[in-house]
Amino acid sequence: MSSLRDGHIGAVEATILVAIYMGSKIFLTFPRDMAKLGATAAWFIPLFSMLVALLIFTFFNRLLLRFPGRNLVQVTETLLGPVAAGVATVIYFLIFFFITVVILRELAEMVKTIIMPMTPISVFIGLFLAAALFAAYQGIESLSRGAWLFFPFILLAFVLIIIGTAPFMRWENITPVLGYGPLPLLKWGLIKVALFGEGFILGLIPPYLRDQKDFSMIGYGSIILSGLTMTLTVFAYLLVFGMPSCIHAGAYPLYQMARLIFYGRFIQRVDVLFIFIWVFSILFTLALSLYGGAVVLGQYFNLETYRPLLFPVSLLTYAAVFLAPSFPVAEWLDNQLLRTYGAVVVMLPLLLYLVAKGWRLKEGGENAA
Amino acid sequence: MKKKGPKQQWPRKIKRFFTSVTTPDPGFMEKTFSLGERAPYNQEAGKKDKPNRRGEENNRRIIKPLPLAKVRRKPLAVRPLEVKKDGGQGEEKNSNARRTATGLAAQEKRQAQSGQGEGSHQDYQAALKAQAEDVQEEEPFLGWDIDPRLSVNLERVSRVFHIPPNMDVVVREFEIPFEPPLKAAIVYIDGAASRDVADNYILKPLMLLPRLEGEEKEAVRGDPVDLVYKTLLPGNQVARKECFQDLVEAVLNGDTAVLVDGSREVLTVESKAWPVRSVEPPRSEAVIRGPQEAFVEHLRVNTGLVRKHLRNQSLVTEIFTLGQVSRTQVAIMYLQGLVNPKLLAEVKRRLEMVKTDAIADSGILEIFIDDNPRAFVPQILATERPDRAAAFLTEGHVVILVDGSPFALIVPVTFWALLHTPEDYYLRWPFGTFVRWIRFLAFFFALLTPALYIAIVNYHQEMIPTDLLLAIAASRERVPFPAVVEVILMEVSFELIREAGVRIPSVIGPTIGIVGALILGQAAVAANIVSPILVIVVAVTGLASLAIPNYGLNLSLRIYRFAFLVAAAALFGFVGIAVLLFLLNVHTVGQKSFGVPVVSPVAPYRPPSFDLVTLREMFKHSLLPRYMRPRRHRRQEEFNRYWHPLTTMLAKTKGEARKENDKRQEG
Repeated sequence: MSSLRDGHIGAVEATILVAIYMGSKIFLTFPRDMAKLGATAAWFIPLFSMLVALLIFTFFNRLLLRFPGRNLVQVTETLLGPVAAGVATVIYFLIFFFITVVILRELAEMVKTIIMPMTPISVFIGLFLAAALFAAYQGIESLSRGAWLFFPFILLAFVLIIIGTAPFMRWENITPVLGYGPLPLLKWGLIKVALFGEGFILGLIPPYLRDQKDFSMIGYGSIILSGLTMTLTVFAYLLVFGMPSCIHAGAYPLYQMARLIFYGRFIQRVDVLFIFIWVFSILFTLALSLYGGAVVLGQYFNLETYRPLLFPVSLLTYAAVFLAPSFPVAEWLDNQLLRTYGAVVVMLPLLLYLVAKGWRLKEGGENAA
Repeated sequence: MKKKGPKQQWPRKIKRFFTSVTTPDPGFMEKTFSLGERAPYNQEAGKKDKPNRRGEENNRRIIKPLPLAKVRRKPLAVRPLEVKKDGGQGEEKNSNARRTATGLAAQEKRQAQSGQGEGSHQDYQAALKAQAEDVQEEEPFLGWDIDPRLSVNLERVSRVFHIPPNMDVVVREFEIPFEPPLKAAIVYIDGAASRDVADNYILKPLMLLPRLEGEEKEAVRGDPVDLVYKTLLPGNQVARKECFQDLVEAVLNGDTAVLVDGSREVLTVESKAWPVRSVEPPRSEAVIRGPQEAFVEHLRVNTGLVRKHLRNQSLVTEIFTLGQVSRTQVAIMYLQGLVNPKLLAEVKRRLEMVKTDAIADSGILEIFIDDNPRAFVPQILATERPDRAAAFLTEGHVVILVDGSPFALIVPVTFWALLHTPEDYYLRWPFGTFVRWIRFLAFFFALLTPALYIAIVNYHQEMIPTDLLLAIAASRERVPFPAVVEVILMEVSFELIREAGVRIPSVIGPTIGIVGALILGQAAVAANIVSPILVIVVAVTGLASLAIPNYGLNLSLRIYRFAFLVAAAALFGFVGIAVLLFLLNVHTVGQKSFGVPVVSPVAPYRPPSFDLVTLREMFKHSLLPRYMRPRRHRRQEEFNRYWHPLTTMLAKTKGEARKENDKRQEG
C-alpha cells in the first residue's frame, strides 16, 4: 500500500494553501452567520473554535506522526480495518464533496447577484468547476505554489478592505462585549469547530513532505492563520455595521464592506477589483476540495493516481450543486448542516487517536515511542 | 440470428492491431542509450532477428538510416590485411562476402555505369537507380581500419563520398619524392577546407622537402606516415587516425586528410575554412552600457567568445554530434566544480537521446530537450550575448551552443531571468532596479490592458469616475462596433504590422512606419471604426510587449493576451480574467526547467530570494542562487569594500557569525 503522491510541498506553501482553503469562507456568508449567532460578541466564536480546532489537531498530529509518510486514509485503514475504513473514507469524501458543493453554489450565486444578474447560474457553476478541475489535475504541488504566489495579493486586498473601511468603524458597535453572554458563546464556539472541517485535507499532506516535522507547523500555522483571519473579519464587520443592521446588510458582508471604500473622487466603487481576490481564493478552495475527494477515494481503492477520479467527482458535484432549489436553501445547507453537525465529524480524529492508543497497547513496544 | 461470418472477426483484428500499435515495449524507457546505439523498436520482432554483422542482437531497424547515419563507434570488425600479390582481389572478395545482396547489385551497376562512361540517357537512368539503391546500403568499411594500400583507400573514399557525381570532395594524388617515390593523396572538401593550407602547408612541403634534404635519397624505413608526421608536415594540428570513419568525419568537418601508401594510419590536418560572419553587435538584445558583441554562426567562435569572459581552467566544453544527417556539433559548457552534477548528467542524457535527421538551429534543439513542449512559458533561455552566457555559467548553469546558430541556450532558467537583461547589472543599482520594475509592469500591461479595458467598458462601468466615463462614451458614440470587435480589429492589425515589420526588406523598411501610423492612428479614428481611447490602449499594450526582453516570453504574452481578451474579458468581465489568471498561475508554477521549477525561488519558496525584480548593490549579491544547488555557497566575500571604515566595522560585528553560518550551510 503506497501513498498517492506526485511531487513535494514546502512547509510554507502548504501552510498558506491550507489557510486559504479554510479561510476563504470569509468572502461568503460566514461573517453574517456569526453575527446572527453571537450578536456583538460574534467575533469570539471563530476565536474560540480555533482553539478547539487546535486542540483536536494536537491529537490529529500525534496520530499521523506515528505513521510517518502515510496519509489519513492509510492510517484509518491500518487502525480500523478495511470495512470500517471504507465507512470513514465515505465520510471524508462526503466532507470534501459537501464543501465543494456549498462553496461553489455560494460563489456562483454571488457572482450572479453582484455582477451579471442576467446570466444563468449554470454558466458560472460550469466555469468555476472547469477551472477547479483543471487546477486539481495539476496536483497539490502546483496548487500550493500557486497559492503561495497569489497570497500577497489576497492578503493585500484583505488589509485594504479593513483599512479602507476604518473611517466607518465605531467602537460602540461591539458593546456589550459579551453579547448574549459567555455560555452561548462557548457553546457556539464548540459547535462551530466545524468551520475547520476543511482541516481534513491536512491528513493528505504528510506523504508530500520532505520532513515530517513540518507537519505540525503546517497544521498549527494554517489553523491559527485562518482562525485569526476569520476573527478579524467578523470583528471588522461588526465594527462597521453594528448589531441589527449587520444581519440585514446583504448576503456577502465583505463585499458590502468593500463597497464602502471611498477615498476622494477617484478611489470609489473599487469593489469589483476585489472580485479577483474572491475568485482566486475560492477557486483554490474548490480545486483543493475536488483534489481531496478524488485522492481519498483513490487511496482507499489503492489506485496509482487520483486523476481519473477527478472528472466523475466534478460531474457529481455539478449535479449536486443544483439540488438546493434556492440560495437561502444553499446557505442553510452550509450553516445549519455542514457547519453545525459537521462538528461531530471533526471529532473523528479524536476517535482514531483513541483507537491508536488501544492499538499501540495491543501491538506492544514496537511503536511505543 | 445472424450467421457467424467473417465480419465477426473484425473486432478481434482491430483489437490485435491496436494492441500491437499501443502496447509499449517493456523496458524501453529504462535503458539509456548512448550515442550511436539504436533503441530496439520492437522486442517481439527483435527476438526473431539473428545477431547482425557486429554480433548485436535486437538491433532490428524499421527505417534504415542514410549511409552516414551511424555515429562512429569502436571498430568491431578490424579487417586483417590479406597479403596477396594480386592487389584488389582479396579485398574485393572479402567485402563482397560481407555485403548484402542489394549492395552487391548496386555496386555492379555502378561499376557498369562507370565502365561505360558518360553517355546515353539510359545510362543516366541506370546510374540514378543505382544511386537510389545505394542510399539504402550501409558501407561496411566505415568501421574498419585504414587499409595500407592507397588505391583501396581511395576507392573507398570515392565510394563513401559518391565521387563520380559529387563535385565537392577533392582527391589529389601525388608522390613524395623518397627513394623509391612514395604514393600519397590528399582528400578535402572544396569550400570547407582552406586551399591555402592544402597548397602551402601540405602539398608544398611533402613534394619539395624530401628533395631538399640532400643529394642522397634514403630509402624509407618503418612506417612512412611516421616520417611524414614527424618531419614533413608543418601544420600545428595534425592528428593520426586509424579508423576509416575518422577520415570521413575529419574531411566532413573541413580538415584535410593525407593518405600515404603502405601505412595503416591517416593524417588529418586541421584546415577548417568555413565561411564565417564576423562578430557583430547583438541585434535582438541590444544594450547601451555593456559589451557590444554577439554570438555568430560558428561554434568555435562562440565557445571562444564565452571563454574570453571566463579564462578559467574549470570551464569545460564538451561536444556532441547530433542529427544523423546534418551531424551538427552541439557543445555544452559548464564550470566544473560549480555546476550541480545531477543537472549536468541530465543535460547530457537529454542531448544523447535526441535522434533526428537534422538540427537546423538551437530553436529546434530547444523543443527536443525542454521539459514541457506544450507549455507557452519558455523553459530554456536563448541569448545571443556571450557576456550573459558567461554570467549564467558563473551561477552554475549549463550553456548549450549549436553549430550554425547564433543563439546560446541556457538551462535551467527561471521566469524572472526572462525579464532581466544583462544591462541591469551594468547600470548602477537604482537604475537597474528602476528599469526592471518598468519591465515587470510591462509584463502585466502587455498581458492585461486590452482585457481590462473591455471588461470595464462592458461590465464594470461603475468603476470609472463619471467624467472619464462620459468621455469614453462620447468617443465611442459614433463607432458602430461593440468594443470587443474594435479591440480585436486593432490588435490584429497591430500584429500584422509587427509580423510585416520583421519580414519587410530593410530597403523599404520606413514604409511600415508610415502605413502603421496611418492605419492604427489617424485613419481608423477618422473613419469612425475605432475610438481614440482604444488607440491609446492598443499603443500602450504594444509598447509594453516590446519592452519584454525575451522573445519567447514576448510571443507567449501575445497569444495569452488574445485568450484574456476574447475568452475571458468579453464573455465574463473581471470574473473571466480572474479565472484565467488563476489557471495561468497554477499552470505556470507547475512547469519545470531541467528539474528546477520555473517560478522558483518564489514558488517554491527558497530563502533568501533576491535578484528577482529589485537589485541591490552588486557587492551585496554574495550568495549564489539556491535553487541551482551549486556546489559552492557564495560567489564573493560577504564584505567586499574593506577600504571603507563602515564595512570594516560591519565585518567585525557580523562577519564572525555569518562565517559560522556559512560553514554550517556548506557542510
